Amino acid sequence: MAKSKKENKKAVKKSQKTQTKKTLKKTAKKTSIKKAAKKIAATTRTLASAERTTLDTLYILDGSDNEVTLEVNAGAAGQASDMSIELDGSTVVDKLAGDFSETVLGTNKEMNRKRLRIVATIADLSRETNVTSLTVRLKGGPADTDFLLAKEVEQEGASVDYICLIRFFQPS
Amino acid sequence: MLSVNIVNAQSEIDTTIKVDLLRAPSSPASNLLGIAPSDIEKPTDVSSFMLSLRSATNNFTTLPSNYAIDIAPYWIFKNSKKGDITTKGLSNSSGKNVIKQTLVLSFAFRNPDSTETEINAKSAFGGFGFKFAICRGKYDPTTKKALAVIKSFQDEKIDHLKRIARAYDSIPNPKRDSLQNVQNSLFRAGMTPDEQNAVRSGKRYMEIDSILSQMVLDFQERETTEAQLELDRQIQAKASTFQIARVGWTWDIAGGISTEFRNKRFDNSKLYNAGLWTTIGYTDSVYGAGLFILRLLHNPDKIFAKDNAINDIDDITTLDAGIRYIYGRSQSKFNASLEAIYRSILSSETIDPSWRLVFNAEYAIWQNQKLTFSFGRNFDGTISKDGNLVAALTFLTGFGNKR
Repeated sequence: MAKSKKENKKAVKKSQKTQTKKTLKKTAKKTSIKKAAKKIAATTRTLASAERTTLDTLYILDGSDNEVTLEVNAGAAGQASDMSIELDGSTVVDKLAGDFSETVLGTNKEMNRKRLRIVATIADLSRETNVTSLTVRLKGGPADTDFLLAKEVEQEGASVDYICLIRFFQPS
Repeated sequence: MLSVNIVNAQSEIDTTIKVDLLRAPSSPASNLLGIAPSDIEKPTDVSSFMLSLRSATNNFTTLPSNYAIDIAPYWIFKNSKKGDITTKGLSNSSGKNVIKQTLVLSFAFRNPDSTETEINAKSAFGGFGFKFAICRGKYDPTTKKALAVIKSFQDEKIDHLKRIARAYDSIPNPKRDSLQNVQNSLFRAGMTPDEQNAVRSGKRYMEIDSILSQMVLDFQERETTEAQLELDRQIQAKASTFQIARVGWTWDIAGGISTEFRNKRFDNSKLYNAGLWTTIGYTDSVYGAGLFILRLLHNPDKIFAKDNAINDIDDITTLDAGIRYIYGRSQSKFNASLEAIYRSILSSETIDPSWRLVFNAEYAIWQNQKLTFSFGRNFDGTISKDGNLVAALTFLTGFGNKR
């Protein structure tokens, strides 16, 4: 009887050890998956917001010589857009129909404390959808970021105006 | 006293046979398997596509009895980089984006039951098809003019928006400045991207972001003038009735292939039928439109070269071609067209190729009354004339006599 009790205890301890090992393995796997997901998230983050047409936010820089680029895409398919972009008061582009293709604004070092102003108006010309959208893509800093604004119009042919103000900031 | 009545004469030229009959179907895979267009699923995003598939397969447990789906890959995957999809970006007639934007893939599956008579009920059938445009035409002058008018109103609006944005930045606002400083202070030098993202996702950052955005919106609404609202009304008046019309070269290609799985076994299959279509056209707003269609079919249900008789010849390949020119201006009372159709069987010498050439003209006297005239050569080589103008002239001739 005593022997079987000892044996039982051994068996239980053994299974507990095995269980702990298994749990540790599982946890390690989960953690590595989480880390991988975060890594992906760190390089491209989308700050999406339904029914939002204005933005006053910041984009973090790291003071390096890496180039910071800007791209602006209008939507949805078949809508008519017009936009102007200014950087620290200087015109980057004025009254541009359609998208603003990826353009270098400057290096991380040069862009610190600068202010980007994007204004756009989008008219609903599509007969398939009443959704309008504006996606602002900034790349080159520590994290690439997409800022998504969108609004659905209630009446056919209506317009939506967008104002985006972005501060470039290098933390000290 | 003579009276001339405009009547409809009995047709000698079969007016149902037109070049348009040779056009590619909108869904090649479904057409090859005889699935009705109304039964084709057309999901617009990945979720509805998965929902449709799940419903048809009873939660992925059985094969569907009849299932057809058309997918436009460029549009269905919303997160993919699309390029310029505004009216400006969609204006080009050709280019790599045109092929991607117009590509539609069609898939069809047919699993007939014992009551089916049109198709072998002991087999199952799967089909795949594609369709895309190499050229889609450019905007016509009316479309370009409407877009230019809308753009001019939008340019004026941009000036107003720039004024508002600059004013928001330049007017002193301690609350705004304070919130921005707090937002900046949430970050410190040397932070990893993970840590930065953690701050961005944090409650404090998002609260400030939301308040700042709302402040911009409130300012914008206060500063919006009556002139801007009037511009909005003018844009809406134009935009609400806006339609796109295209002119210039168009070139579409479509194809499809289907397989028969005999005894409903996937390891026992053979080619069932196939088709390839190409359509080349040119539209001009002044001189009319031309069209050329080429169609190659393998094992069709009906043989066009045999006056659409049921196909009782196995493994037959047919080649049909059509060309048409239409002259007619928009809103014009008069239009004329010339059509030629050639039909042949490539894999059999039992039926000779044949062709037909028809000239049509019509003139609208009133809104629902037209004078029509047709003249041409039928497939059998006979010369025919038709139309109510011919009938009216014949009627006049019947009453005339020599005095």
